[in-house]
Amino acid sequence: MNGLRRLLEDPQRMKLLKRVFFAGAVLVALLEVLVVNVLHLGHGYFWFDGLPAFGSVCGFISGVIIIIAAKFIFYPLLSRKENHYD
Amino acid sequence: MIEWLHPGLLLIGGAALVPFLRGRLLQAYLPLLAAAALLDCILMAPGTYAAFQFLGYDLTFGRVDRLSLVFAYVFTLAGVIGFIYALHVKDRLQHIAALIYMGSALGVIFAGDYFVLFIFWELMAFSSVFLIWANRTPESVAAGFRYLLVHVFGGLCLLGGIMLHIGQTGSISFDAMHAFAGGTAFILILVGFILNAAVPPLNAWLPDAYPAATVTGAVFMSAYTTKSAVYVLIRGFSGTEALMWLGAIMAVYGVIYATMENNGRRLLAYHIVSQVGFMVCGIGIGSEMAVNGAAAHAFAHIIYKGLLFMGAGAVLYMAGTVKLSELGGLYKTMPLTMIFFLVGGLSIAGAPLMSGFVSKSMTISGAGEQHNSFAFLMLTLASSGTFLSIVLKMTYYMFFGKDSGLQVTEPPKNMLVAMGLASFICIFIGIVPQSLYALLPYPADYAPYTAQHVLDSLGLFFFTAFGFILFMKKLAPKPGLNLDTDWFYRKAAQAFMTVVRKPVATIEYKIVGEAYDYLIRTAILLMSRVVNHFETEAVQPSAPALAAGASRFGAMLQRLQTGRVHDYALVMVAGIVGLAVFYLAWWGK
Repeated sequence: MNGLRRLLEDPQRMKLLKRVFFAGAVLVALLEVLVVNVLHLGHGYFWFDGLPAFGSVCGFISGVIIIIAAKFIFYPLLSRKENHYD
Repeated sequence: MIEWLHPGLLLIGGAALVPFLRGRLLQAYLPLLAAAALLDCILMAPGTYAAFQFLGYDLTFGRVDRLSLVFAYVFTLAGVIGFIYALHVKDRLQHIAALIYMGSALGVIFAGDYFVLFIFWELMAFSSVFLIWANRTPESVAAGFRYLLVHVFGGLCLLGGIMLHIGQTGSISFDAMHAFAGGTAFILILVGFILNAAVPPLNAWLPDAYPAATVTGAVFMSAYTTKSAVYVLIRGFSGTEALMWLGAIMAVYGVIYATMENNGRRLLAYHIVSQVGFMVCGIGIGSEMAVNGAAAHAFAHIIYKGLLFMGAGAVLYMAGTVKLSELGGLYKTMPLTMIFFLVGGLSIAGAPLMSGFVSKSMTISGAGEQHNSFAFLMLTLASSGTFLSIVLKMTYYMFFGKDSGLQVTEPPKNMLVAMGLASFICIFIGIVPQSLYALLPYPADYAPYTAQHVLDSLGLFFFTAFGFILFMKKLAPKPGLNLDTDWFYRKAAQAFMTVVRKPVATIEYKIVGEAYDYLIRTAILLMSRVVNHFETEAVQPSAPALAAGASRFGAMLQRLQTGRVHDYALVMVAGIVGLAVFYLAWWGK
């Protein structure tokens, strides 16, 4: 775990980790386009799931929808103090 | 030679020995008993066993087929892991409750008729509540009572539906219900079932009760109640369209609540709601692939959800809290727990090479094959939300993030072994999906590892993580609780009690009570006045008068006591003559 600790606590290495992450994200999105839209190796059920980089786009939109719904719409409406029911 | 031994009987009967065992013997006994039940299930051949006649009805305790077996395997397997995790627990009450709970869940799985099903259904609720009460805190006692009340309500719906169903058909056998769709019996039985599956709005008992259970109790609870409900829904209600809609909504409902939640175990409880939503949706779609997906997902879910509850339980056990706002940086002191938790997190999110990937995608593909874009998109949305709230949010704030400064160590060895075992199963199923597919109710020739599918999943995760990084500051957990439908019986019931206490009690005490008081008091005073008058005017003066009378009578008698024999003789003769005259005058007529 010391390696992990060094990685997380060293800003230089953390920056590198972030770059690796972003590079990975872009790579996966490009591979998606390559496999589905260029090589036509997949098959879709709907008109939309064969769109370029469907998984990646869907992931980003879904994540943002969930965050906005949870934190900006429902949280202000539904959140109470911990002793609300006492 | 016994033809068939009910594994539930083995466990419930085996619970009777727990009070007499102690120490190492008890520690060996519990997982071995669960392993014996697992072996019992593995050795079983499909067929109908233990069928009896009772009051003219056919009771069936042992309906063994592919569907009941896949659930039986995972129920007993989860029991073995659960008991290894609970080895250090000295409280025998918890072990007995867990054994009876597990046994009654198996009773539900093998029940061939509604009567046997109902008995075990109720036993499940009444045994599992002790896993909550065993915490012995005021909160857990209250949560246990709420849990029980909700399940009694669900049980009554089920019982009412069963009665109507028997009245209409004359049969108590439990089979596919679609011929009765829309009838009152159908709806009541369905409500009873979906309450146990925690389908909104009947879901709030679950995130209310499970975080109140003991560390080890929650691991058992996460396995049986909702998944036995999934089993009965597959058996009775496959292809019920309402379930497709409810399941799809439920999958997203669970993750939104999970994303808001601060209490780690409640966050996981909301993910049960979400994951059971995948299964309920698959059951509603009803195609062979979707139902296979629901069963496969139930199998995978029991193991990885147990693993997640074990991880969160280990943190609770060692750090004393599982509130994300109070945790952070635990990867330094609990690295193994962190790795196991991450395996569970990646499994539930459906990462490639993990069990969730091969089971969840079956249900989503099932929705795709039926060209059901609503279910397909909702389940995809829920997958993203699952990755977001467990792998990213919960793992980050519990094990990484800002160091909480908590001085903890790894949990006891048995906990680590149990988590390691569950992690192994998650990865094994992920790498060898055919091992799970071979157990499913319908033949499955599904290939989860296509290039498109793997890349779609990876893309989904990477870009969900991207969204998480963008909103990271906003996502920091804060203490608090979020209202759910339990508000209606917690707060609205309090409002009802306020109405009862304030106006109704005021009317009762101030008006009805006073009026009643006044009338009674007046009547009593009047009565006492009469009695008093009678006493002073009639009773009291009569005493001296009686005394004087008695005294005069005494003097008269004294005069008669002359002592002379002939005086007495005269009196006697006079008496006899008097009697004779009386006799003649009265009887002589």
